[in-house]
Amino acid sequence: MGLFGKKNKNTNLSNNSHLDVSVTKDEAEYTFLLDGKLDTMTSPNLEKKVNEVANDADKLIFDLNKLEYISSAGLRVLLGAAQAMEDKGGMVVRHPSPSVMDVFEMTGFNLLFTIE
Amino acid sequence: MIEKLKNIRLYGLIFTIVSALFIIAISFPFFMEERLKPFLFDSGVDSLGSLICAALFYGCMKQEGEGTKNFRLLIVLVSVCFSVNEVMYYTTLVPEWRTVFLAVCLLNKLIDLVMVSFFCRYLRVTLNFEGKLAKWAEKAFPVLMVFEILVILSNIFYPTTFMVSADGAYQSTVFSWADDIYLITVSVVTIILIITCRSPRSQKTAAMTFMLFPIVEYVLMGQFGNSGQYGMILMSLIIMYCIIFNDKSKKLASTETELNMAAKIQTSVLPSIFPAFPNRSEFNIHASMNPAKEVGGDFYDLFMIDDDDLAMVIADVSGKGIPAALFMMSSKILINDHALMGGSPAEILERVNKLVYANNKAHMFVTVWLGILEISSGRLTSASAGHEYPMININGKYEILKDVHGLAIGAAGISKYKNTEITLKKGDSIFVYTDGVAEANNANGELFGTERTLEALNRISNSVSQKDVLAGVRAAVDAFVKEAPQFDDLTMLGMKYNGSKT
Repeated sequence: MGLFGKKNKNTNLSNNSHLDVSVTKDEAEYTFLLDGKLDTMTSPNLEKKVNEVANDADKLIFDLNKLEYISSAGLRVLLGAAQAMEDKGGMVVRHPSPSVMDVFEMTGFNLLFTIE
Repeated sequence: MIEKLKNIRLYGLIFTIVSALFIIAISFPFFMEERLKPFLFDSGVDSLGSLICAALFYGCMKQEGEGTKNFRLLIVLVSVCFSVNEVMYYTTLVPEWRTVFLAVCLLNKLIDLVMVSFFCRYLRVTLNFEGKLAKWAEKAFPVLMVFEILVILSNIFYPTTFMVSADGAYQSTVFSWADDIYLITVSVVTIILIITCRSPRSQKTAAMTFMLFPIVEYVLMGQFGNSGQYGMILMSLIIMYCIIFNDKSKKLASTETELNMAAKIQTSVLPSIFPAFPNRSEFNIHASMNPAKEVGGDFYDLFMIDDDDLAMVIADVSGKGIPAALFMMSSKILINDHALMGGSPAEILERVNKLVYANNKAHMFVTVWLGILEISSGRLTSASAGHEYPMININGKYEILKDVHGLAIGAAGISKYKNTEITLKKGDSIFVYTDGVAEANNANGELFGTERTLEALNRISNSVSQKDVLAGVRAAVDAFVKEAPQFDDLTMLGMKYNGSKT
């Protein structure tokens, strides 16, 4: 039952944090609407989705209007996206909530990202 | 946790019992009939077989990894064979159902083919067959399969290999061996391929049992198409299951040992003997780290740059696990090296950032707070690369020090940092930490937060040692989160300045 136990624990963890990602595409401009928590558990999924479109995209927009929380693992995904878009149209972060903005300011990412 | 496990077992039990009842319910009316009495035993074996299939499938449901998906499909196929066999019993010896019986017999033989070909393909992929024979087999098997299908389907028009008599009984013809050409050829060739391939022995054994059991059965019974065949296949499936998963848990165990080793190495690079500087009475310092997972990305460091300067570092690498731990190791060494080379905290961080960014392919970053205390004067110069605000106690009470923040290290090629300077008097102290403290959350998802951290610090008497200060914060966090599992490391560093000697 060892394997089962492990698996079960993982599902428990992901239940605690949840992130809905919806992607809209306007030519080579992709908008990611994030709803929930972007942390260690949920960021691999977002990273996968970002990587899928990174080659096609000229510009990536992250709408954080409904994002409740971001952890360092989540910041890493945004950093990856920003670096992938560096020589193209760039990356924009939109509508971060005050608490998410606090995290950007704390970690200095507000200096790196274009925040609207 | 334990509750959930119990549930999983319970679901399994309910699932198996329901399947058993379902099979009995379907079979029962048929076996009230006199004509099926002689087949009662064979059919019983079939029912039992599909039951075991269900249990086996259930057992694999939560398993993941290479081959498991194919293995599950194989179980489904075997279970379909059992069901078709059952239907064969229900329709045999009923003259008016002769057509249905014929169709079911054909279906049975065709599914046999699919199962064998599917299994061989599965073996080819997992065991990686190479060489001339393998190439020949790849081309020849499909041709042979088409031929076999034609032979079987020809029975619709002409009794080539078997016929259904007027009373609805199965009768094989003199050419019945033609049904098994494919099976025998494929089995023999595959066995040779299994023996000659270069895969691990455990995998070979597992594959071999599946190939050998039906052959043994064939030799013993002399008549393929008999129900016992699937029982044998099922037995070999179970053996395969045991071998595959025994092998897997062995691998898992070794990964776990390696992770524990990594955690040990990681904690061993952090200064862990306190008091760290027993001959320095000018300050009292303590640090602690409790990783939430086996290995983490948090770290602290404290060392003397020279006789008058004490360096303190607290940092948090993005992400978790081995990648974070590797990144943590290199960052820690770089900060240490460059601090010893000299310069202000801001200059040190700028140099470290350049080096970290240059080799950073994984978009990782690390937030760092670096403070250097000039012991003779109490002047504390610090710089922050995106790290949590320090909490300082210079007016008899802990408060947040809103220092100027630069970008986390590793995020951009060139980052500028600013020094923040404060002067500590005798009895003043500073507390730095990682987000595991403020972001510890309880079962309701509430965060511990910086306010609660400050409250906890201010509740602790100013006269206790830094070790007890950290223990007090830790206790407050534990009391807050209670049973909720924590995902972040809890790392803290506390330092109290006792004034210069002179």
